[in-house]
Amino acid sequence: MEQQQPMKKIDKKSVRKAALTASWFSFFITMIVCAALLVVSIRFDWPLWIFYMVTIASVLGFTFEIFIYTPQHYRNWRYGIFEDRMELVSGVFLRKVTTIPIHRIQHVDQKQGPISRRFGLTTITVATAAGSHEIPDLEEETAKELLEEIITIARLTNEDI
Amino acid sequence: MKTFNDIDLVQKQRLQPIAILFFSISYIRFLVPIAIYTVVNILDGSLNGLWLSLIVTISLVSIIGIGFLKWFRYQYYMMNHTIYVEQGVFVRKQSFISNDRIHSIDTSTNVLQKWCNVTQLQVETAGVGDKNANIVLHAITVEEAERIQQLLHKNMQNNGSHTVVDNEMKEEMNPITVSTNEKKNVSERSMTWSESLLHAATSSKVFIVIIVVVSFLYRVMDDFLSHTVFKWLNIEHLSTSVVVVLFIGLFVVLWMLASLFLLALEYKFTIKITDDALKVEKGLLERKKITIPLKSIQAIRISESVLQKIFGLVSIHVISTTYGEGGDSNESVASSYLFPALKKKEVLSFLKQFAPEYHDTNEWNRVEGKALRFFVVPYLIMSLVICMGIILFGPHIWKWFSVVIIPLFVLSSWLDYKHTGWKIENDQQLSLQRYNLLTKNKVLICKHKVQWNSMLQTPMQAKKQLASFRIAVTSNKKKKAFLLKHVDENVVQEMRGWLSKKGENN
Repeated sequence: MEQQQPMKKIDKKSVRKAALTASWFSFFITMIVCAALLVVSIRFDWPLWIFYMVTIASVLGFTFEIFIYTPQHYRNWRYGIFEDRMELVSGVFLRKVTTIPIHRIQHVDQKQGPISRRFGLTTITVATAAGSHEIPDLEEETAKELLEEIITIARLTNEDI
Repeated sequence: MKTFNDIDLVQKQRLQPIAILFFSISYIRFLVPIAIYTVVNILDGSLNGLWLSLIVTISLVSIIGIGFLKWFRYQYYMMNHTIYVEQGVFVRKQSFISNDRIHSIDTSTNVLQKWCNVTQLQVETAGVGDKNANIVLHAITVEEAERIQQLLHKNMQNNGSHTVVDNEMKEEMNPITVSTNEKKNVSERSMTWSESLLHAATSSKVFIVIIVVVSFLYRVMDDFLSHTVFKWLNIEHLSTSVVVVLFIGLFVVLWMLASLFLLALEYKFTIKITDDALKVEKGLLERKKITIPLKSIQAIRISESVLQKIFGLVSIHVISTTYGEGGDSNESVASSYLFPALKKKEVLSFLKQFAPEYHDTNEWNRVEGKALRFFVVPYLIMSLVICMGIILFGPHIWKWFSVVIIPLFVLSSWLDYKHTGWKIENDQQLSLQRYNLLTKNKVLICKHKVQWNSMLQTPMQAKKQLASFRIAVTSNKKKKAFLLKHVDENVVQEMRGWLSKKGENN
């Protein structure tokens, strides 16, 4: 009765862009923290090894985030819309499979930050009465299709009731 | 008849003048800095009577003035089954709630309000976590509160003009209708004295109150105490045993005070069930009346702390969209009681009476032995890290004493492992049990109230075919999620399948 559509991935192009967005953000944060630490170290005569350690640690963390964690995070993302439910699969270490029955969906939003807009990415938010779930950084076209699909299925279900 | 009514109702009304006092009192907190400044100067002796009286006069006049302005600008009226409020001294604000958006209408009366013969009415909407979504009328007469309640209530379930007229007629002979109603359908349960006392003495909130009081004393009064009381006691010259006795005495006194506080809070706790709602009344200093529509109940939680276990008591909490607890934790929030203290044996009949959809259970499917390490190891590591931190950097006395937390953490995680359980009942209800913070928590959830669910799995869990499962329901604080930890994968799949099957109720 229920045609099993395969779960969809977040497309590769989008993954690259999203990873880039995320990297910009953490790059800036890292730079600011390191610069602040350098200033403080010189000002108050702190030993400089603290600054070196923090810089090395943050560069390592930053590299890990951009080249391993973020791409894997997006590669692992799956979402699927079925007749009666939505399924969202995510997580690098902790794998999370969330099921939202279609008739629990209250509304669907799309949002776009200033950086995402530059890259043409959209995040879809699915709201239930107990909090909302996000499908991050979809291509604008894909997001629009997904939005329409959810709305169509949700409306059909509502007419059933 | 209807139009006549509407014109009549559009007249804007103010709160009772006593509200000036309430508003003024609510602004007193702004005087705290001035008060501290004044007290400090008085203690210094650098403030003479003239300045003091001047400061007091100006402060009083200004807060009463602001209170008056707020009262003057605070107006409400009802039109087309909607309650409107206009308020604001500098920024004018108009808010309204129409009958179909109303979630609950509650009244509460504190000592001051009772003494002035007024009551406070609160109209809440489903707008979760948004304070602006609510309307509060701080001081109106009891009759006025009843009138508003009736005008809004009847429209909450109106089905056309017929019922409206019908209800309006009912309204006129209001007392009679209510009393017959009560005879017909209301069943009621009040807390007995022994239950109240036991609850006050055993509630874990006692500890919270004590901690708050002690930390307050420690922070605010430290200087003051060491200059007065300790000097008077001559604390440096007392023997250790006397000091220990003093501390134990202080603890007992605090315990009793905290218990008294709780006793007043839940004084004469009464729960009633009517056709479509539960009605809770409680409190000595502030008598609270809370209405919980039966439809809004999302889940029931039954908790049993170590202390309560000694006396064979449990607490029953409710998670609903209008009242009760929310958030991700399993900790209890101040006002979530459906009944504060109940003998264990009575739970079954209590639920049958007041929450007939839910059934208590004592038979559980337990977690398997292979899950034990998943419960214990994280806490073991956490306690080791904390211990090392304290030993390396902590104050001297606590250094080796801190080792005690390792067995404590391990014990509590083992207890969690021992008590974690689940049960699916009658294809309708899912029950979960956990043990944390020395409290056994049982949660009863109706299948058709579940909003969404998540399966969680770490690589380590996957290797052992284990997984965790999270279920979320709506609550007045947006969501309440329950976690079932480290059960077999197949159990999680079974539950997901069970949840996706449509029940008869949906």
